[in-house]
Amino acid sequence: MSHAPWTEWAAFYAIQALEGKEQRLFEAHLTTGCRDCSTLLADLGAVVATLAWAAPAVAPPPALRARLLERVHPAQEPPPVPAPRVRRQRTPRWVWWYSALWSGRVAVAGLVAVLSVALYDAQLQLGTQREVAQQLAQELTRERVLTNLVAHTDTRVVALGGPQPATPPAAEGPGRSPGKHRGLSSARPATPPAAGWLVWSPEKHHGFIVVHYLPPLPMGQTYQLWAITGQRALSAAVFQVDEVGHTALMVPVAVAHPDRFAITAEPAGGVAEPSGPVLLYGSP
Amino acid sequence: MEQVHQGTAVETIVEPVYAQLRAHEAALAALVTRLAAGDTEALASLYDATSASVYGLALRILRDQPAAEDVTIDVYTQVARQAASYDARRGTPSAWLSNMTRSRALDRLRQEAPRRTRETSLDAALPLPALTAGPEEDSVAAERQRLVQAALAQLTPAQRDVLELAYYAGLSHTEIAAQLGQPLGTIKTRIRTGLMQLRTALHCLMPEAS
Repeated sequence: MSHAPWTEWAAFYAIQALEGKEQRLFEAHLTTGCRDCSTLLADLGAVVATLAWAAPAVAPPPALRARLLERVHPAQEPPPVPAPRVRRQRTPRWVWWYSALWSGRVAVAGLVAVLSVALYDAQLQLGTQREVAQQLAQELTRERVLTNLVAHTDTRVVALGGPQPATPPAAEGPGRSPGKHRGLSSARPATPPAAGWLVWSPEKHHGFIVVHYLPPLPMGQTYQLWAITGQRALSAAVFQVDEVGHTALMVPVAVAHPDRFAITAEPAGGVAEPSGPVLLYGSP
Repeated sequence: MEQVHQGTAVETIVEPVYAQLRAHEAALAALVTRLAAGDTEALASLYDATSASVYGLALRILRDQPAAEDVTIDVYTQVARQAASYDARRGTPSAWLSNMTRSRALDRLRQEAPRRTRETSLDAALPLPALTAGPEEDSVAAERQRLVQAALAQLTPAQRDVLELAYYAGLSHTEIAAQLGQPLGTIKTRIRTGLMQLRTALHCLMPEAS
């Protein structure tokens, strides 16, 4: 279980039994683009969804259907409220008061109905809006961090390129079926060479990396970013790329002034020292 | 059928009904597409095809008919609003509906009773219904229910307990541990192994299965 605790947490997260700090850590891990966890989570999410089907189906009351349709598609023209026009003639005062009282009741009832619908509608959208707001808040936080990083006075930039056209390392392990992992032995000649860039702030000790056209790795492997000073390589991040070999993520850069940065392919979960082939590197 | 209930032949009965299930989901997806395009009749058709599952799940979680009715209305209202955002890559229409139903039912459950006093005994979360219990919308839903129950029957009772407390009562692993008086590590293991076993037993029902 080199990928612990994420694999275990994925199960709890899928059934929404994860909470507190563990939940936040796992969600942060997902934002790194971990393909293993995303795949596992999708699988387990589908499994959790099937638990619903163990519950016995029960036909709802027939009136519920009409209630739903009325709610979603209310009649275009509501039945008119009787509003007898008072003709110009003397009306006993008690009739006037009675009419006023009755009209008031109708008006209040209408107002209550309108407010109820509005309240219901607001509640209904609240859950959805809350989720959207959380996502936006997270994105905004990331944007702010990135903006501060780029705008900082000591920010430095390094371009990352390959020593040779990026090729996947140790593509096929024993027992691995060919073609199971796309983009390995079938690398398309038209694919541009892998490249990327990294900005970082020596003072803030973090940076932002973008890479393109790195080939997807076989299951059980991951990319790892290193900040190298002399002979010492310090791991900065472990990440996966999407279908087009792209990723963009915030990374910690604990070393203020590394000599160079390198990206290698390593066993899933990362390693303490680089052992795989260098696919991208760059010197400030 | 008896064989299936004993958990020995889930895989063997999946093949004959798998195409039927796929067709069922495809028909539901078509209704969602129509609904997203503004076809108001599609909602009624979707409701007719799925409301017994939605209402049954809400009732199972809430154990209160008026509350389950409200949740059912909420779910389909949300479906009508969000049909355009349905993404087939993230799950089948049935899974979309059941996730929505569970989420809303658990919200309602939490509103009506604080967690500390929530009735979360195993009597409430269990037992699983008998295989033949309850009316069904159609044979597809009945078959699907039978497959899932057969897969659940392969788990140990302890694994079923924790999964059902998590799913139907919405408890976290720490709450389940407290509820059952078991170490947290034990509960975590049961959840993880239970889900992994179900994943294996039901892989033919998963969206990516071919």
